[in-house]
Amino acid sequence: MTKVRALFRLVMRDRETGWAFAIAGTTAYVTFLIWGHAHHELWRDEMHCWTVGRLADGFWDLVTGDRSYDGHPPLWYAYLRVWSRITRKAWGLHAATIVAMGFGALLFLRFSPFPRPLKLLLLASYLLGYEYGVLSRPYTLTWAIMVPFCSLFHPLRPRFVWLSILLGLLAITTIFGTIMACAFFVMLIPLGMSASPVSASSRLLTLRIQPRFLIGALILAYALVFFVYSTVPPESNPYSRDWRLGGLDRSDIAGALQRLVYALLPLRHFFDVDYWSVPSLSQYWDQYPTFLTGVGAALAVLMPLALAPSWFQAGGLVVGLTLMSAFMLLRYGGSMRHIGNMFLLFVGACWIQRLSAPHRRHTLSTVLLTIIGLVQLQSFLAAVSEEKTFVFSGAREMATRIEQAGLQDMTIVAGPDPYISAVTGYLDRPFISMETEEINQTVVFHGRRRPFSSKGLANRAATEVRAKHRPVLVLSNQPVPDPGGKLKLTFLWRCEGGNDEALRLYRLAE
Amino acid sequence: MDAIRIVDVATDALSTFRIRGSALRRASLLCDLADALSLSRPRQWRDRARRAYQDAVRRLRAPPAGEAAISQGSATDGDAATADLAALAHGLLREARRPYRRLSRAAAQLAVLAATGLVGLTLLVAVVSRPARDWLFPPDLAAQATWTASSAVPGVPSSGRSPSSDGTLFFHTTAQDHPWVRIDLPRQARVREIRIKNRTDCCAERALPLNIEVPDGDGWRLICQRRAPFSTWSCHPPPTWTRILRITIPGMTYLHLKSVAVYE
Repeated sequence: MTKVRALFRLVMRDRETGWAFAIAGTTAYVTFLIWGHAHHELWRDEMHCWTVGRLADGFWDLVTGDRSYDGHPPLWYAYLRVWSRITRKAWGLHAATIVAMGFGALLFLRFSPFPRPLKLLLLASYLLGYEYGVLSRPYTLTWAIMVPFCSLFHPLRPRFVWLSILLGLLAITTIFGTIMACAFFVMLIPLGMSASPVSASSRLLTLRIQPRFLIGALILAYALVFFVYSTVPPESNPYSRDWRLGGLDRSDIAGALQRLVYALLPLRHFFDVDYWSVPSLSQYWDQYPTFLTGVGAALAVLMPLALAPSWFQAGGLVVGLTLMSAFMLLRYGGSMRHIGNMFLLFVGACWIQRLSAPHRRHTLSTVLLTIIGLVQLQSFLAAVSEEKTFVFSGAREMATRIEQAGLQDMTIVAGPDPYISAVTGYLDRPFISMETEEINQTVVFHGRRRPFSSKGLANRAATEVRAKHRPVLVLSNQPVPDPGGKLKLTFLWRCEGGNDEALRLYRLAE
Repeated sequence: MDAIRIVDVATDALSTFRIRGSALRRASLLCDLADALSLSRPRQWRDRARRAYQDAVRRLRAPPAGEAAISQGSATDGDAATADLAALAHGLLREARRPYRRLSRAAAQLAVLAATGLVGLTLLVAVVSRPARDWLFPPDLAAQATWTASSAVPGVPSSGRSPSSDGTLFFHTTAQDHPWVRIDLPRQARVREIRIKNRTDCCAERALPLNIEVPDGDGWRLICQRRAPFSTWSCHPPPTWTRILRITIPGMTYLHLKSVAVYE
């Protein structure tokens, strides 16, 4: 009986005193990530960040250059730029993601105060296992910075300056990272500020603020100013709608609650090629709309309740979730990668709560995290099986075939810009755009853009051939018409992607 | 959960003291234990953990002064003794960290000294040697260059020497297709940087996209392209051997800039 009990205690241990478990868990996790990345073809928005980071003319250019139109803070691009100094090839992006997630997993397994099975379950969740682990996006860095923050957090020895530096970095990963940084800072308030009555009989309060807490607040404020400076695009992005400040109604509240369910309890069909998008997520839940809203409402109540009575932690979580929901309602609807930040925030808040009150059992948060983890495990398995079954973008195959045929040094005329940038990113070659007068490897999201047309693309390629008297490659996700006029358009091949990239390659010559 | 945590830490601390562990690690474990104690509510577990803690402190080879008194005190009352234990543990941690602090302070001083020496030496070399000065602080080749614009609005020159202005612009083309300004450097140079200042009083967005080209056979070869708004843009092309640069906008517009500087 004693042995069984000891074994149970060993398995359910929620506080590591050594690195063995963390290293073993991280090794398994990183092995899976390597497998996942080997099967994953980069999609256009993954490749875009890599290309922008790789081509930037220094770190300051990352702040003020092409990236400024993206509407994302620059930290992910800067991180990728460091990796692009090691290699310009696309595997650098895969390696950057694996290293960031592996680092996060190592600290998570070593320092997070969750029972061991729960830690492993959370790492095998859809979001940490696939969406942020295999897909290469800035949210990966949000997790990789949130984990050191939580690891460094100690209620009796709060290192405000270091914590704030990490929050500052978190604030310049993504807009959701910024919101999370603010939410976590709310959780630091009771450690850095205290109020006590001036005297026993007085109703006046004396507010005491620790100097290092104040320094930390200034660091975070500086990061927020930098976030605003570097993230607000110089002009509105044609691919992103503007702020929707009017026109909110009651259905939007239901929408926000539903997003909470999609983020935390994503149930999916197996073998559905469109598995990463919200429509796919809603395939299961939207059969039961009333139930969906009810579950969302229950989550909205239970999540802060799991942190009670630590009001600042519950408050920080509510602030974070509300701001994220508001941003998605008012600005950008959001996909799984966006709404998944709610999950990250909840995990971080539970972590901090357990450190702050180690004498509690935290039953509610354990139950919630276990249910979330189990549902996400289903989604994770569906995603992994589909990743293995379907080609994600077709871009890697197209680039490989171009290189195998020795065509990579030919002039490429291509469009629509966002769709073909994954191929040119893989090739590390610029293309001539039909939508702008620019020559670049990726798209810059400014408004000086003509609408795309296949005919226009053919004409642009014809102009290039006639001017240089050299054949060009024409790349598009749409059929390209023959431009005529003594030019010969030859269809070379087509590579199918899982979503909207049915990429076609042509050769145009005199 | 709380009790398991405390006992885990205590067990770990004890085994560490028995077998191995630096003073820093031991003190750090004690610190964790004291923190766990001070956060612990159930009295039975706190007492048990405190006993483990006292046992651990006893096993330290050189316990700091005052440890015995605190150990005695801790047997009597809960909260005050726990606070004392926490203070002792933190003191132990500080003590244990002291050699590392000294080491890091010495390393920092050495680094500052080395950096100061390096900067001083560099400045000295730069002052006494012109080639070194030019290598460290390359001169602006365009200061001696001549320039020609594709057209000019009335009252503004269409060519000149030294492409820069104390005012808002040094040339201003008419609205035309592909307006350009050509810079003729005084000699062939391996160009590594071109720094362009945009007009700032208005209309800075007109200079987008801005291409920098060099002659290539019968035509021109693009070496840099700016697509985002700028007040000052430093372009760093792959080192390019040339005497002529052309700055142009692909499209129908005006072109006007404040200055162009070129560095090897």
